Amino acid sequence: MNGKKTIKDFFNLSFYVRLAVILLVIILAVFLYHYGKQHTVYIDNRTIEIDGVSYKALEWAEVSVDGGDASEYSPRTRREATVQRQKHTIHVVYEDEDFNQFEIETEFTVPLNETQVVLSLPALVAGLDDSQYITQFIPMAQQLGINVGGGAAAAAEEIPTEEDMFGDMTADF
Amino acid sequence: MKKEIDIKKFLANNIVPIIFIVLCLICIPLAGYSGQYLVSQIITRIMRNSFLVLSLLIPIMAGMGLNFGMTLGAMAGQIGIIFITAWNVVGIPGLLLAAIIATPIAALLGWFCGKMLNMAKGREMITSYMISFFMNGVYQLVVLYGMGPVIPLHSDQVILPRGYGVRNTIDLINVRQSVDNFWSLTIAGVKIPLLTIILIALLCVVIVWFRKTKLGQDMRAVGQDMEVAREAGIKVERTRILAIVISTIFAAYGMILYLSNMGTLNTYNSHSQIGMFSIAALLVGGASVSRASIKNVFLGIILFHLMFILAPQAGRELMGQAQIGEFFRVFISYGVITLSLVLYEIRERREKAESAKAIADQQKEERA
Amino acid sequence: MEKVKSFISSFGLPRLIIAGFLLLLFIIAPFVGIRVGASISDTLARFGMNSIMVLAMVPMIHSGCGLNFGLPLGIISGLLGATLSIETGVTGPLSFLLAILYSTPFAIILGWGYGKLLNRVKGSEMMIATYVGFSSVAFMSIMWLILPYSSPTMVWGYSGSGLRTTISTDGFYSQILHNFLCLRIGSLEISLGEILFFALFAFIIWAFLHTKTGTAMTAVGSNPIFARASGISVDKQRTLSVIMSTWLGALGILCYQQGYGFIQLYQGPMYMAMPAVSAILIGGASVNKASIPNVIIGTILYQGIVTMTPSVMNNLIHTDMSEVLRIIVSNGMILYALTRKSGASR
Repeated sequence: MNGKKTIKDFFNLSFYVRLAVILLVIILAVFLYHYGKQHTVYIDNRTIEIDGVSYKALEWAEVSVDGGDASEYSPRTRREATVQRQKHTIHVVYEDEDFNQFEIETEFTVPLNETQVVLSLPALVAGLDDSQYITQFIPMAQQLGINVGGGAAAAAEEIPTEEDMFGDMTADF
Repeated sequence: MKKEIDIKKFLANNIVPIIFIVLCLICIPLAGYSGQYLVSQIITRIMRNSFLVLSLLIPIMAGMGLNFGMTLGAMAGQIGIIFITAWNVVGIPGLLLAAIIATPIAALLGWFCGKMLNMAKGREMITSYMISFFMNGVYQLVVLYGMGPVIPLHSDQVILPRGYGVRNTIDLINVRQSVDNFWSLTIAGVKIPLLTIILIALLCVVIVWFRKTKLGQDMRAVGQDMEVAREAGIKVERTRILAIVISTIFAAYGMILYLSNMGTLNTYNSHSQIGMFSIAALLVGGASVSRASIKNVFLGIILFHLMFILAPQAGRELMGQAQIGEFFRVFISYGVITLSLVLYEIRERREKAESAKAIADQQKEERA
Repeated sequence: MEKVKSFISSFGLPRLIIAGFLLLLFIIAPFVGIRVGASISDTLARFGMNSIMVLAMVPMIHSGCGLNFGLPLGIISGLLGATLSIETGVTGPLSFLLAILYSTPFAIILGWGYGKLLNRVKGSEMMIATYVGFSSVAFMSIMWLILPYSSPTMVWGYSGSGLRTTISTDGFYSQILHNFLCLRIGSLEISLGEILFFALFAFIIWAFLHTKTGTAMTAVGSNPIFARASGISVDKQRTLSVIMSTWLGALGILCYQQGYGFIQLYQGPMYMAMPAVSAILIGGASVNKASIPNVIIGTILYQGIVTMTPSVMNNLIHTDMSEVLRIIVSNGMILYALTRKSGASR
């Protein structure tokens, strides 16, 4: 510790070890983000228009995600599935108007940063790409331009003003 | 004769736990809870709090007293939890990610706290206490105004409808009890979360092991006498900062475990209660400002929380008002801290006087 | 240049920043539509309410007991005096005198015990004082519920027992000092009554510190070993200073109540020590040195910032960050005082 530290002293073994550990932790963090992030997929069976082409809602369908329990869909049904990670398989059994049964199994990828997405069954069945049949979920109020929770409701939300440290004497612990 | 003195000494040294045992014994029949309920409550609370209380041990070892700055660690843990909730990262991966986010924040805050305490040697406790107040202001600035516009977080669950600032309470449904439920047993209607027990046991082992390492030995030397340690070539300032940094990081992890067990985060006051209650629990277990062991931690949590559960119910039965019981337990928590601090100071002074007298006697003998 | 430097070091950089900030606020104020006259009146009114509590710091700092974080104990004696005075049903200015009278014995007894306690824990008074304050507030929370008060203005209406959380002093001594000799010039309003009341006690303390006992007290604070050698009873002087601080704390809260209009019970007094401590430190005091000018400058600066920041902030950026800023500034000031080298010598 006497004298100046040279650059060589700085880049010694323990520096590299520390660097490696920090990098490892960052990689772990990224992995955990991918692995642990929960997405809500709204599986939607209604007539939809994508790029000017209309896809009609399926008359009847049975869908299971990642080999889970299957549930039935009639037109205008929307059910939610919560999944972790990005890549998932979906298994769809459906009937057209003439009661012909078809079966389809495909993989889809949920965009990493979306917590809520809508998956359109008619578009999926028509063989579109997953970037087309999976869209961002926009709440109804926002679609209609209604400001829910803003204005008066926002003002009513309790925002702490006087904070007392070691204060709330009667709270549970 | 000698035995009598021993009993007296034992009583004097353990007056706080004894008071608590007596109080609990009085309250148990008054409150009228079933044994099973009490046991399951106590186990829940041990799981919830012991990590936090254990984080206080290392600064005591380094002679820096009760680390009121553990609140800083709790803040760091909360910031980690806020992030993962906003990102919707769930379960154990989510908690791990929260811990990874919290670590650098806690280390930075701990370093700041340690630096400050080095400038206020001899009054570490009041200074760390004021640091926690000061940092609470900074935490509020960040969380109430910074989150949203400056730190990009977009989640209706977390951010207020006005577009910035974190909500007052956040529901942690995604990570609630995920550690506890990962691997647990039920014995006679009492749930025993094994993974949590393993984590806590691991921390205990780490603390015991840490005492034997070079750094741990240095800390004890610094705690005994700073000047002697400096002459022996120990970097006193650095050792003290490290003690606080380690404590703060453990407190952050403890807070993450605590919050996942509770299932809700009170953004603006969860951390503030934690400091006081953890310190009170440790002192109830018979620890003092300069000496604390793992045994004190667990005894303290059991006694303190038993009191905590019993007091309101006993107050209702006895006085017809649960509020009296609530105020009573608050009075007891503050009172215990006061009593322990006073007793410690008195004992310290007596010992100093005795050793001074011994030295004087010795000199007299030498002269004779 | 040297002169400027020595001035800055003697005045203290944080103090200079705070004074500059306050000045800036007053300069900005007219441009964002705030009447300066009203702001000054507000600041002065708050000065009148809080100054005696800040003054309560002085005796204990002089005798070397450090910052009086145990101020809640004095406040509790004041609250006892206030509630007893209202209980008797006397109204008007007399009730204020009565409150002072009733709170005095409590302040003396509690202060005496508190002083004795602090004498046994020399060196870590501040930490213990903080917790003595907290425990006494918690203890009194129980007492407010079970003490047999019966005045209908104070007791919960539906249960008939236990005191309310806030009690109005309307009709008793609300604003009596404020309205006494109140000068009104346009929007500016100066209450000479409050200022004179403060000046009276400030003068008493100043005069006391120059008596024989007062100088002995200062000697105890600056050098206890020397003081003992010259035959001064250190413990006695310290106890006396603690009693004085506690009594001033009681007076301070009564003065605060008359300005504020309400008596706050239960957890109200919990954190009242912090603003007072931080005010005297902003005024230039340190952990072991304080004077009357420190009290005056500190209270004006602190209360000025507390009144000015919210209104200016609100009009300027439409967000009220003032509360958070206040927490950071006032606790940062205490932290600064605690970590300074000159203070660490003790």
